[in-house]
Amino acid sequence: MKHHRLLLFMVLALFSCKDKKKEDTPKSGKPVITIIDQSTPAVSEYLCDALFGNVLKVATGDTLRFTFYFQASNPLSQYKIDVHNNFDCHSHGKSVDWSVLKIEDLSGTEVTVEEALIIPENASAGNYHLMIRLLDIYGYEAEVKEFNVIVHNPEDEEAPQVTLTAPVEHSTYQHWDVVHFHGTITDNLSLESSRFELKFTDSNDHTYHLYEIFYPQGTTTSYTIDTAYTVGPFIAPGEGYFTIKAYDKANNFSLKTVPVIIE
Amino acid sequence: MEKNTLFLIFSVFLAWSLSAQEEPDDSLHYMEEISVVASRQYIPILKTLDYIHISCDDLLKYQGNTLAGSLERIPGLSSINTGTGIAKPVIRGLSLNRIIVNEYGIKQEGQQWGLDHGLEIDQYNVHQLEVIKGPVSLLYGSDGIGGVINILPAPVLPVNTFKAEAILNYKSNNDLFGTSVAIRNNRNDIFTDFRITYQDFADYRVPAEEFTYNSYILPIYNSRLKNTAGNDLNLSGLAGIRRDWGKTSIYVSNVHQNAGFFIGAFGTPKAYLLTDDGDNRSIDLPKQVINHFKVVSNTQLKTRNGFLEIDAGYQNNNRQELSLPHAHGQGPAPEGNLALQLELQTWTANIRTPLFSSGKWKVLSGLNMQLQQNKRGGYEFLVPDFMTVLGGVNAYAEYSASGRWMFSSGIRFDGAYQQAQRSFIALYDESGELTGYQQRSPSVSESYFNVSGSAGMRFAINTSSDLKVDLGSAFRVPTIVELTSNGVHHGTFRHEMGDSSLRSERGYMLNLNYHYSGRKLVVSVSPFANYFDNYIYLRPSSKFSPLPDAGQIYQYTQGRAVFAGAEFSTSWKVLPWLSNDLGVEYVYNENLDLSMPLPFTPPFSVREELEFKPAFKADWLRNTHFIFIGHYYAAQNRTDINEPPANGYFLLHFTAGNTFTLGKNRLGLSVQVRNLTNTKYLNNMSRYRILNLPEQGITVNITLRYEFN
Repeated sequence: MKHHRLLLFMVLALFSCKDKKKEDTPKSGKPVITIIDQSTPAVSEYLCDALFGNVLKVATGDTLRFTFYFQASNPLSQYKIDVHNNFDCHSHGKSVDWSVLKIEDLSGTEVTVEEALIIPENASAGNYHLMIRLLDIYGYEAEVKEFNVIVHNPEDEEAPQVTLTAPVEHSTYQHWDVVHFHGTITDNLSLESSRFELKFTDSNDHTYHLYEIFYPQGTTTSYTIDTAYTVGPFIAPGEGYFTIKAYDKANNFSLKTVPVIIE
Repeated sequence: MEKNTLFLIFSVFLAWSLSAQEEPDDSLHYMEEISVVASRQYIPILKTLDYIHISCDDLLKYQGNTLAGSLERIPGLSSINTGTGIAKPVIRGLSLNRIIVNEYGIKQEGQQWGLDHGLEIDQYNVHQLEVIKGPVSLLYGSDGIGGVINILPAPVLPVNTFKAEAILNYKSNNDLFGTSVAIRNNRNDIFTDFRITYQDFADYRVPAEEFTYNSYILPIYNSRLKNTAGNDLNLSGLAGIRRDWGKTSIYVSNVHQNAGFFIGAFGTPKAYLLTDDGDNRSIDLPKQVINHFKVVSNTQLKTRNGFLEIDAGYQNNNRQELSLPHAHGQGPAPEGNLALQLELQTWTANIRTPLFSSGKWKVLSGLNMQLQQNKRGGYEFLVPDFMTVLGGVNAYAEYSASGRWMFSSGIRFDGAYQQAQRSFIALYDESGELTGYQQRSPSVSESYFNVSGSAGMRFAINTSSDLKVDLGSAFRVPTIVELTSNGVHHGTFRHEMGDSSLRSERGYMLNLNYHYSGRKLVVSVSPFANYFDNYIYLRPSSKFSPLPDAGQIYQYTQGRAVFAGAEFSTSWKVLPWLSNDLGVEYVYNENLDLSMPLPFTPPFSVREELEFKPAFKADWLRNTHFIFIGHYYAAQNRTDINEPPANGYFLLHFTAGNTFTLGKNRLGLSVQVRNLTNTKYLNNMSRYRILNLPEQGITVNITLRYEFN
């Protein structure tokens, strides 16, 4: 039997060499990823100021279990599972906390796969991206399945504290005026590799995302705010407010708003 | 085989050097043509291929966002767009390194392989250009597969005259403000030409408040695509002298482009990335900054043999793609935002001269040489440093049998050598310690040799119509990118991988053209068919990229392909005040190995244009014109693997314009409304199609042009 297979393979190989130019025409249609079962149900949650319906909330040490059903018109080739942190909402920076990069070969047009993703005990809390991708042998790619995984760390649930000495509430500013921000952000743990955001909401209720500032390397449990913003001419006059949203490493956050008047 | 070809090259050289001693009897005739039309009218192949000449006035009248966009009016031409500021020309569905753009005889070299890499040319600095559809390798060597766009120098001003012009431009859709000022002078046949162009545009508007990607509904705030703003600053100067011995000039230009990319186009778009930053003119990351500097020298000498044309050029194309570093596995995080830098330097020299000419025969010959050096930088690895040398020699002849028959044919031999160093990447373990190095791209040291040729004829059926047939072969040497790239190209956000075993791409083309030119009606029909035996394309592979947050690998592959289609156009002067222009184009292509279409194929389209020139009595209204343009694009369902199809759409444009004469000076005013109905459509030739992003909505473009004499 083995010899027969070898012979068959050799004949096929010879044949394919002779006429390797023409390949089979792929059947059209993308592969499809269906999730038959998952240990943690997806919920809706605000992440990075936008509502996501694909949020999985887990704690360090938990296991995320999935049963995937992969199906395609052409034979399947590979699937890939990719987990990387999204602490700063841009999936930039290093993935040293919890990351998965797994590529597995597949065959056939229908496959059921079970996956268990263990969140390490020492993983940093915060949000992560989980992506599941699938390819067939012609390179048709399935629509990516995407989750936002919020890893909760039972050891740090304390949000950072924001105190502001400037700007003073209800101050009046004109377009092109420079608004100085002074104050501190403190947390129970090191703030390093986390960030704060500065936003402004004008009298038309339009929110502008002004800055996103990362605490520099070496920041300890306290950070001194020292930044400035020039009031843009596009900001509607009237009562508005600045918001400082400070995060810590575990993605706990607190808000500080300062109402001001734009003339 | 090799001996024979060497012998042939030698013979051509010999013939060339010997011919320099012959006494021509037709040299005067050639010279006249040169001094009148600057050059190129005497190239025989132009007479058997589909040739179109465009003036600066036409370019302004039908002005698009970019030069490639402005040329879309010509049947058979389209463009691949990334937003409003970046576009690359497409001729009969062929693009990238299959189209040659020459400025003043020197081939533009600026990483043409990239889909999101635009053409670094100031569209206001184009005085006249010609487009040749079909194989032009015979004339220009490698890359002359789909055709050529030749940007020609302006005709020299009459002796002791001065001309200046100022153009002001506003485009409402992306709040573009542009200005271009030029000063031209000719004093005793010493001539100069200076131009400065600056334009600044904001994020462009689309007729939508949201788009759908990957089942998510994503917002488009204020109908503007965030971070698609940009600006350009272009400077150029030309100085030359014309004397009894001929003409020589030197041209220096610097094109600087700064263009943002839609923030959702890098990786999967996320709602929180698309929030308004309050400034639609800011150019944030991701973006590209391109600087293209060039020096071109053009010399035409009268010789005993007729003439000798020498073009030489130096170009420095510096491309910087900037973005925030993405997740990078282990190892130190990249520093800075410079993802990819490619600095390409190109030295070019072309020589052309007649070998021989008699009453019925004209034989010309040319020599081309090009040397390139590329240096890379940035935290992303895509292509290594490389060096390329190209050289070619050609001879082509025209034979006019009688008043009705004209034949042309030519042959060309090209050699090329490419070299790239092996590249490595550092490997790190989980603790971030360096553990070793892995090969990222192989070393390349390859030579290529190509023969290309063309044979054509023109038959004058009668005084108003003729028939042209041309059969040609063309080739292109694989680019180093196609041979060695290995990494995520930020512009396309795909992991692209080269194959160092790729051979030269070769194509065989048949072109036909029927042209009728009557008193009131002009008709042109141009069918074509191309066959490639080594067509190089980026094929989606069945394997995933091992890099984090990256999808599948796109592999450069080569195979057999066909392109066929036709253009049909009419220009009909219905009434003294009414004319009608119609253009129809269609391209069919197939990857013969997979029996699948190839990507970025222009859809079937019909363009109908009605121009009214009312016979106003008032003198100052005499040049008034109104143009209605309806452009129908059929659905494009012939798409490649993973390339989404696009539905058909109809766009309506309107232009009103006039030129006022103010003494010796002229003031042109043109108001153009594009996409009058604010139609929401997806264009399969747009890089943003994959994100389901609609194209630019309505825009009112106002152009003021003041010509001072």
